[in-house]
Amino acid sequence: MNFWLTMFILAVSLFSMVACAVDAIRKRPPGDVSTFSLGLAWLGLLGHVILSIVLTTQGSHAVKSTAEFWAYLITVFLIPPAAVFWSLLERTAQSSWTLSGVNIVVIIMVLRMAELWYGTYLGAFTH
Amino acid sequence: MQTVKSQELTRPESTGRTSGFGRTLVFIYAIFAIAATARGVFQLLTKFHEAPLAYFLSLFSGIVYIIATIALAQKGQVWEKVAIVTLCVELAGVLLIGFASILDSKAFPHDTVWSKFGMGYLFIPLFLPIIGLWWLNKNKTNEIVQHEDF
Repeated sequence: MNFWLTMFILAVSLFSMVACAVDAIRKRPPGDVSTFSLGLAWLGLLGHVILSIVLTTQGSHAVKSTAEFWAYLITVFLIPPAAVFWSLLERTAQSSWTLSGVNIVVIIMVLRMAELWYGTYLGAFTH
Repeated sequence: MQTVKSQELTRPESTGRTSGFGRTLVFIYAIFAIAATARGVFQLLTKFHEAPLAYFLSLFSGIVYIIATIALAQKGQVWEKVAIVTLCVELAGVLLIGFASILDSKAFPHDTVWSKFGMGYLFIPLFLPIIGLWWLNKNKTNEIVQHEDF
């Protein structure tokens, strides 16, 4: 797995989580910065999916559990679009909290995927 | 112009059980429905023999979250009652399995959502039903009936 791609997703999601929370605290629906940063994180996840397919065809696989890795990857890829759709149906400060929470889910799942791929959480930082 | 107006009039906005914070609640429940169900199914398929009871409880918690998600998202008194019952089951489940996993850690390896009161999930499974029941109580039927009869 690519170290920089993982770091990119984590950094953008962290930024988006804060941006969404700021919107929510100001009692506003998700603004452009919040929504587009989540979109950028999702593009990172798209890259993650593509890279995982490429690495798998080249013979690499998750150290721990391949099935669990793919289950996480597919799920985390589907969650942000579902959340954005859900937040657009009723645009309130609460949708900002929802999107902020989605970023937390993305961060946790990307870290867990790194652990499944390398064998340890620290593996993501040392490879 | 007229259609836009009538749409605005018939939309009971931002005060009901399924609106505002209720929507965020639905989304959190949906995430846990996916997490718990996927975990339960995965465990039953790959390592059923290791701890069948814990894995069935994993799947059970997933089903509870699925019902709760649907009940919290739907309007109406019937769904409100379903939500209350489901959230009570959820709270009882997380407390029972939480205690059981501490008393008999062999029967409950730490990989179910409710083990150790949901410690692996930042204790969210413990607080979620309490917050959910608070929300349902705050938006009791007599308040939302007016919106539904709109």
